[in-house]
Amino acid sequence: MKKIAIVGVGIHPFGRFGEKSYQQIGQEAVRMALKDANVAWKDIQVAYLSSQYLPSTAASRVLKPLGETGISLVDVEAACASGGVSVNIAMLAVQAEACDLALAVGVEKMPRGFMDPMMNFEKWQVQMGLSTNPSYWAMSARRHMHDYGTTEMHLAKVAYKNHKNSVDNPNSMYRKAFSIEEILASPIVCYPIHLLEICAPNEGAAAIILCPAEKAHKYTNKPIYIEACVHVVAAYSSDFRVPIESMSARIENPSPVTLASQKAYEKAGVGPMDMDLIELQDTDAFCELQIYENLGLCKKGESGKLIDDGTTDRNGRIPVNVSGGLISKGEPVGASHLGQIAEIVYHLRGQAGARQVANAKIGMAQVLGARGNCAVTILKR
Amino acid sequence: MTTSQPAAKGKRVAIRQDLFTTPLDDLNAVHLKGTKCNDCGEVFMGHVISCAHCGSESMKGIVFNDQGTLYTYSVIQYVPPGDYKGPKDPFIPFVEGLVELPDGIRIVAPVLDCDPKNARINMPLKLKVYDFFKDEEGNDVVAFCYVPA
Ligand SMILES: [Zn+2]
Repeated sequence: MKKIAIVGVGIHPFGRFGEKSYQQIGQEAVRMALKDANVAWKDIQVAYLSSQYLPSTAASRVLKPLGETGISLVDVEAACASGGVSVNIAMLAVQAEACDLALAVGVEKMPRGFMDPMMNFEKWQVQMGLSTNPSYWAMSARRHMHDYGTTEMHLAKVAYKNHKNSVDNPNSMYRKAFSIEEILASPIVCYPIHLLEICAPNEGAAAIILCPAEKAHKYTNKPIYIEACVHVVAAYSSDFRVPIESMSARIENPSPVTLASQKAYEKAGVGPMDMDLIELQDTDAFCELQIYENLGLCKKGESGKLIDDGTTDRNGRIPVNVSGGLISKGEPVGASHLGQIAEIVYHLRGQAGARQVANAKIGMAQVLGARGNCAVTILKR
Repeated sequence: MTTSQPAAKGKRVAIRQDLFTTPLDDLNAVHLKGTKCNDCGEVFMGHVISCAHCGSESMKGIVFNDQGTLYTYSVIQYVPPGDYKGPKDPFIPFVEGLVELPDGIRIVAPVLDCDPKNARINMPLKLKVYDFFKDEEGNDVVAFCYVPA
């Protein structure tokens, strides 16, 4: 397959922006990416826009005001992995030689407060009170604690690390460090998960421009190569997550994160220990620990040890969520994976400012959400 | 509140189709129904026509064991979002469990009559089928939960 390069990135910070429309938020990210690649909107030949909570035809609503060019503008949705799918198909379009310059953009402006549970759950589940998202994450966490001795302190350390990292990220929603004591004293959302250990839905956008690797130097002297971009949906009964009603007690299939990352490692010819940085789905602090294991950063049950020994600290062997992670950035679902990719691109180009991971050459982004939708992207300079 | 007023005209209806054995007259005699794959043996809640594991369409109806154990759980501290039909004023925190049945399935269900402080992984549970709320037509909507055995 033809090698693909990212030649432009743009990001609209993640947060809450009052009356600012999703169109404006998305257009800012796109304009920034266009400028970064030294191209104009009329040069883009196909565009894929990922979102989960925007109305139908969001792609044309966001992009048509940039000017009439007659290209295909496509909406993409795959829950928290939506961005992985827009990148994946933008890449395929270039690889198929259907075009030379493709845009993938993620945009989101999510409703405040709890989202309508009927979007995910069946009516009977809602009526019976089974519609509290974090409780499913909490159930996974509690079983992990029971099986492997993971503790509340392990979770708090993840949140401590990510909040601390976010202070240096101007694109993050919360940029405030908290002590372990403050984290453990924050209200319990669902034991063992505290308020300061969980991500908030919010608003934001991020965009990338892709072209064939051999043409990248026309646009940039710092092309970043997509070594792999994989989207999977969880194998049967392999992922306990909303809105699931039951799990098999007989079969243990590999998790969607395992599945997607194994495929991505194989395509890229690398392993988890080769990464200079990783941005991953810390929907809550336990989620980050579980993903350490499923990405193969450690053995099953040993993620507590990994956070204890500092491996994933900013100055550790494999820094994880140097951006501050979802816990600090918030999760504008459709934009989340594009935001991770933008972050890694900045590090690989040496443009990440105060949070720069020194001499980063290869990085990985991972997202996971409803129905086990998971995406993993590996980038290399 | 629904203190002991004489029962309205309504009948009993299930909160979810194809989940309960019938009739619903004596709730103590009602069990949960499932479907088992004749090819790979996987089990599903309610009625399904194909196996989500192996794709087989050779399926048979089964009745689940009433006994289970608590595989894991969380405590619902705040009123769940959406049209929750349990007590809201005041809201009573409850245990939400993943209940493992000997049939080879784990089911997400409320675990009631159980002080959250006393919930433990692996604790024995049993099915309880009960009148949960009255719908607009005055029917008693029947739901299920698990309670300490
Ligand atoms: Zn089967």
